[in-house]
Amino acid sequence: MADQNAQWDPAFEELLRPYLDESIADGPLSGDLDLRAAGLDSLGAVELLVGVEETYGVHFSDDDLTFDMFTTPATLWNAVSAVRGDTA
Amino acid sequence: MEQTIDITRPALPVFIQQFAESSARAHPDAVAIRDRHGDLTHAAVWARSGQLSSWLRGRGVGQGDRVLLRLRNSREFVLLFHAALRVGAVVVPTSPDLRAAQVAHIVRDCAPVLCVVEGDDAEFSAEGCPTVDVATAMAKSQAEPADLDEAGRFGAALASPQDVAFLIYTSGSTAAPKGVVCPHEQVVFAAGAIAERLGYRETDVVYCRLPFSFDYGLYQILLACLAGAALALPESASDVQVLKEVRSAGATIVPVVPTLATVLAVLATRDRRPTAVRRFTNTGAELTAEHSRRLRETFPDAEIISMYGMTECKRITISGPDDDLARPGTVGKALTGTEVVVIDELGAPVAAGTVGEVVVRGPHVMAGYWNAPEETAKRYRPNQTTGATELHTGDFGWLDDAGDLHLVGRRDDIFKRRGVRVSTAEIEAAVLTVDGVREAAVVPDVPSLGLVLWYAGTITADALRAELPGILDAARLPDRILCRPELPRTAHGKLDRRWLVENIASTGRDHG
Repeated sequence: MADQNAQWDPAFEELLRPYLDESIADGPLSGDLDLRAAGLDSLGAVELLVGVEETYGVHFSDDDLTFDMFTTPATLWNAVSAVRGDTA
Repeated sequence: MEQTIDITRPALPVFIQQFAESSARAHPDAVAIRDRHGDLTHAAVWARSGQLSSWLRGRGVGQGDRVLLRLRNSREFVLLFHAALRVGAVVVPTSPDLRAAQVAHIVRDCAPVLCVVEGDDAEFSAEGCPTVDVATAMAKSQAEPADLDEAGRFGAALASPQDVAFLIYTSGSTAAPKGVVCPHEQVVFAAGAIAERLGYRETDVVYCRLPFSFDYGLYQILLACLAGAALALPESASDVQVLKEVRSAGATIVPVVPTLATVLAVLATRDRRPTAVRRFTNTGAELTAEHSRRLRETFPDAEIISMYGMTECKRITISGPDDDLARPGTVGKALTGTEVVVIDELGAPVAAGTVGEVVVRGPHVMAGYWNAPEETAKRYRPNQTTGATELHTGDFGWLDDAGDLHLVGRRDDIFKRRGVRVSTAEIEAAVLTVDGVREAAVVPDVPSLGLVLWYAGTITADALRAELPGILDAARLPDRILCRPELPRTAHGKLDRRWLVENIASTGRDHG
């Protein structure tokens, strides 16, 4: 799981951090961090969704859109990658 | 106690259990409930709730008994709600998000004869009350007769309009939540008066995401019944899917609190496909001009109705559609048949345009708090001249020349958060139960920080943050937790919250 950090780019972390509690704002971001426990609420998830879509030029369809994708940084990054068609 | 009630003509219900029968007769084949299982007609709701009534009676639930429903918004809640009322019981809706200690207080306070909970509810503390999970209740009632005899159809007797229909627990100025006693007569009046302003139609689909434990959510059941409209229930607990659900349900009416309005507006910026929404209604907290602007920008075909209320009388004012455009900040006029007055410190009415405390009179004023005569006497006071009971809201506002109410503030210690009325005293009391906390002070709505908790003690802020979700639900969890060696006091020895807010930069460690 720890290696997943390597897969996302710095912009992704910058998008995520404002929605997390200050206690983890400065440390390294773990791929399996529980985002809800770390402070991501419903409104935060919705804003983060828009931010991710704008940054990566993607659009999640109704079927792609689940709250599960906001479980951890890794699940969100995987969802972004899937919709980008990233396999690299 | 004999009543002259013609139950063959339920067009003007006197008791809440008649609402469902009325809609079943008038709109039998129309959709009453739409959820992830599909659609249920008004006739089916009446029949299925009849089976549940028989089941409840078989378990000994009768007139005046409390039935606690700790359920998410679901068809099961709606059916059990009607069923409990039909046996003359008192419905106590509570949020599944309440923590063990919070719900244990409610259970001890109202002593239910039956609690119905979600199957995965590990948090529930039954305090010795009979408890059944909702799936079992639904399964066991399947074999019961749907057609009750006359007595069972509407309770042992349609006894008195002053009989209690609901207890709705809400936070007051004390640490523990209190149950607002809601008699049939007041609820029926309030539902009718609200229906008149909101104008729901038979063709409407009301998407009810606000929890049934919150009175505005609960009243959507009644408002939909009165109009013969459909009630669409959320499929997912996640707000990420709200717009998708609004669209797939074909929702035309969406009751919101400001957070939900914001979520919808943000989601609509990324998905501009049209919706069927024709009307938003807001309550719980002020929908600011910015909230309304964003909602209008993203839902150009929908009107916005602003409202103001409190559980103690259900609803106080309702605006006309889009009235806020002409009169910014209005929360509308008093319900028809009721009065709103603004008074000064001595209790005398003030002139239009002058700020004072908002006081409410009318047939919607509820019957006080359960088991709390002192709290009741503070809030519900006799008019000095007429002797009629008046509700002193503790909120401050002014009336304009047209009779529209504008609010300027709520009492310091009570605030609405995520649609829930929360008191600082209640959060502080819970925080103080944590080992290593000596003092605690909470302030809602600190600019750009939100709900801030300051505390003094030996526990670290991180450790305290980890403890709180175990004793407080999401609506009561602080956004920021700041540690101080000690908390400042005023000359009178009270915690000095104002000093804490004014000195935020130096009152604790960094907050990013």
